[in-house]
Amino acid sequence: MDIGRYSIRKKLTWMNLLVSGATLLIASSAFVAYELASLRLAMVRNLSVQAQITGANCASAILFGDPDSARNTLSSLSAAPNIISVAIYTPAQNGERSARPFAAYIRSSAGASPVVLQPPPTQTETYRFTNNSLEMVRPVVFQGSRIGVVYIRSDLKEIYDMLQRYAGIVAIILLISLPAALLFSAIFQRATAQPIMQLAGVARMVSREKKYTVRAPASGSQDEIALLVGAFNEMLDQIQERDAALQQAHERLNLALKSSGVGTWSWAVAEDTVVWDDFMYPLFGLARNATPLRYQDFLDLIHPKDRERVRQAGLDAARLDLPYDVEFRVFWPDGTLHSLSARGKVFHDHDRRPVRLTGVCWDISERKRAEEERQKFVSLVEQTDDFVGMIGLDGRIMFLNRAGCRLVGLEARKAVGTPFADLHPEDAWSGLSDEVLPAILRGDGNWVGEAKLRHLTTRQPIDVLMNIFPVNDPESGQLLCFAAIMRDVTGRKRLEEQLLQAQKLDSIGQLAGGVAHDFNNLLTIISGYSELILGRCSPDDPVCEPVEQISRAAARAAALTRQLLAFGSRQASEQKDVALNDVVGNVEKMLRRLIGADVDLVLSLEEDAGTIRADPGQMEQVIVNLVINARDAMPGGGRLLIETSGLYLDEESAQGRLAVPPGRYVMLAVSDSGIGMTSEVKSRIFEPFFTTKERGKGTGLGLSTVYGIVQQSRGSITVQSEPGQGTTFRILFPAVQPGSREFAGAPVEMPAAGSETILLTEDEAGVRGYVRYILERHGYRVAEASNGIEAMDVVRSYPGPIHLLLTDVVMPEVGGVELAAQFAAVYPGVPVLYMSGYNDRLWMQSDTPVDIIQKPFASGALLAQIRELLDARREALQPRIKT
Amino acid sequence: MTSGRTLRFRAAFAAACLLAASVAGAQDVRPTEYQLKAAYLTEFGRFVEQWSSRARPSPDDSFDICVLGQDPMGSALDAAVRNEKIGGAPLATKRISRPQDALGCRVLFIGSSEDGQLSAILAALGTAPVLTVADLPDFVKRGGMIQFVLDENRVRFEINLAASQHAGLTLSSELLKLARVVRRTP
Repeated sequence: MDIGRYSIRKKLTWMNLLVSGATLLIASSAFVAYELASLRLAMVRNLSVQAQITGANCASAILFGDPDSARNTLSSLSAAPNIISVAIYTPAQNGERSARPFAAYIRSSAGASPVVLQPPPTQTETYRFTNNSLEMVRPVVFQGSRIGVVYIRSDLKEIYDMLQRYAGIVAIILLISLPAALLFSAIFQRATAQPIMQLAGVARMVSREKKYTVRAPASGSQDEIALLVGAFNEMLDQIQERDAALQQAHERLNLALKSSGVGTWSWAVAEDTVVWDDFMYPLFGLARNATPLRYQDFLDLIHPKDRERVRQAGLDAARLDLPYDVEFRVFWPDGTLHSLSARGKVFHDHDRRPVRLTGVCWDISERKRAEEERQKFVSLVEQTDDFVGMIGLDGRIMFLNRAGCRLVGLEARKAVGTPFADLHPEDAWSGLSDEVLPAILRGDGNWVGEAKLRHLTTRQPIDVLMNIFPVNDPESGQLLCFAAIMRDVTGRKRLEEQLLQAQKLDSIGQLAGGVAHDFNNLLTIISGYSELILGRCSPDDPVCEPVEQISRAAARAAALTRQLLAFGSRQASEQKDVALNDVVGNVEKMLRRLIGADVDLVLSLEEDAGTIRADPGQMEQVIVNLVINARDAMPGGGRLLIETSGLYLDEESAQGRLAVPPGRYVMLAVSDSGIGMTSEVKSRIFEPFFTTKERGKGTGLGLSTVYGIVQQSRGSITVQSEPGQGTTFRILFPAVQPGSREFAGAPVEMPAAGSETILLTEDEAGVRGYVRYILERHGYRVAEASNGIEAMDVVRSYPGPIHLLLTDVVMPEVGGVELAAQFAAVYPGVPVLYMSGYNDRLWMQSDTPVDIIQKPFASGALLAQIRELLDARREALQPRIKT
Repeated sequence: MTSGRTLRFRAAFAAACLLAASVAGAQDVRPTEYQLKAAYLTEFGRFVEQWSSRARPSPDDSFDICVLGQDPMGSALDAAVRNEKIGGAPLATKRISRPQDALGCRVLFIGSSEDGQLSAILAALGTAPVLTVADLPDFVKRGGMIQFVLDENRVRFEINLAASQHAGLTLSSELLKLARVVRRTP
């Protein structure tokens, strides 16, 4: 039974009834119980008295054995209607009480069942209440001695009667009081329950009909109920107010959302459903739909790459109360990709469990696109190597990109605010500001020209190509600021200078080379045939002497040619791997002699500075030339320092030099403390025939020679010098690993004859004829061709095998190297020997070492090399003997 | 020390059960007539006011129960008297031959042998407080106080109240109650 279900009225009524009833019952019961106890006691006492009196009255009868008399006396007890039986027992002969009473009285019960005389109880207790009687045993005492016992039994009618009576009374009392209680209940309820019920009624109405305008009637009293009613009404007031405010806010929000295209969403964490307002659907390209989605449906709309991130963000927000702020891409049904941004907040229940994640979402595709565009431009500006900057109207830098900062040596964070003028040398700036800015301000558009900047820390001048233009407000046309874009042309300028110089020298060298080549050919013929004649003539033949002269003259001519080629970098040289330090060591003694006592020579050679591929003789020549120049710069004596070191040239450092690729280099530096050079002189120092010395002193070829040799060795040479501050020449040679194939010098003996077939390719008829002659004389079979194309025809048509290709390098149409390649396709592994009139850096053009013989060559040298090559080939072809 | 009394009670009770016993069956030991009378003699004393409550004789004094003339009870009386007290005084039996000797007695049993001298005996006693008991015929008519009668084999007695009053003895109503006849007038 659920007590709570009953109304207050019923509860109060019942309460009253129960309280009254219970109280009455308890009181009555107590009273009755007391009466009962008293009555019992009284009964016992009465009975006792009766027994005693009876006993006493029967004493004489007992003594005189007169049961009749006793009976008589006993029968007087019939006056007491409650006595059931009385019996007097006297001791039997065996000392115990006899089973038969001496005299007895038994009540005659009319109509009721006959009462049976019962023997007295044997217990020692004097009285006993049974279910329906009170029994008592009392001794008969006569003059101090016990002569018998009276066993008297009384019914309990009196008690029952009493109980009945009282029950009746209590019932009547209850019957009267309970209705009275009800009545009072009813009266009091008006004061207590009614207001409560009214309040309950109002509350029910409010919650059912959601009308917050009703109020509970105020009760007249001032008790707690009145307080409750008052508070309730106040609460309703507040709810109404809040409701109204909420309504307004809701309307405002809706308005805002509507106009902004922002959608709101709510994710119920436990149920994993998502509720969207109408504005959410268009963000995903979906039609408006009323059914809530599952959270997974929402995730599925997201781009796969972003999906996990968004999912994790949701979990983090829900579980860890982290802010939910994500951007992600979604695929619309039409396949297009859009970017959205979502922000949300998690709401918890009382137990701090996440219940809901609610938030807003809007489209940021435009912004993303704009950002991407912006980013592109930003990287463009930042990654370009050009100086890109913006200068305010106050002349201070507003923005400078990375390259710009680097160019002028400005730290990025210090760039903004630096006056633009600080970047220019004073003399340059005035010119610039006089010329450039007015032009711009006039509205001429932009100004492009060469200018000079100054590095802020090294104070070095920087040559730039500058483009300055105004930036105007697109709408008002007002000038906002200036933009400056500059390109560092220092290097270029320097390169240009160097190139110019190189070109100059190159052209001269070309000329010389061209001449020398032809010259070499002619010399080959002259010295070759001379040699033949000399080989044939006997010592006392008069023709020998003159031919000898011819031969010698030819040799001298060859030497001269070599020298000529030196500064034109067309010298015939013998390249080998040589440690630079060794070269310096070799000439040291000579150097000391050369410079004299006034000059202090110091060698600073790095250990294992490196190995270079060069002609050692040429290297020596370089060192000597430089040292001589240094000496001449110090007429009063001074200090001369020769350094070597190995170094690695990286991208940046390599840039300032003449087309030298990055890599490992060996440096040779020769420094003096002499008079130095002006920049004028410096710029012409390597020009052939340029000299600062007086006429007749010095050929003006020294440094040109050096230059040429350095070029030949694929190195580079720079000079540093200021007037009065000495001069330093620095040469960089590419470092090599020792091991390329080198060739020995001229052989001593005539090699063995051979009978192999040699393909001779040479465009110069005279040289070709000579060489053919030598070869055939030595036993070889010769196939001729005058250029590469002819040679390949011969290769294809020649009936027998060809054992060696002997070819010139420079030929029209197809050159020697190309021919060799074609030849190798047909005769792989067959040796090729080049005859070179130049040293065209042939060995650099191929990856593998090549065999070259320089023109002009002695026949013996040619034959020896051919023999060596053929023998090597034959060895390689022989099968190995298995052991 | 109620053994004697107990014995006596048993005897009295047994007498009372004579009638019942005759119906129910055999009883153990039936007291004789004179045993009963002897027992009664000893009891009468209790029902005399002066001797049961007032005028308590000192313990040295004995409560004498005398037998004048032929003693029909004999040892029964002695047995009944043994160790009994009335009012603190021990009971004693005396056998006397002259009425004058009875003046010191409390209870006097007159034997049937003295039937002829009854009036003289009574006259001799005068107003002395002596309870006279006999089973002589018409004893009470003749002035005796308590007379044993046999009534259907039961020992009953008649009482002459006037006689006892004459002697200055007040008999308890209890006793009177038991008597078969009570004479009030002399």
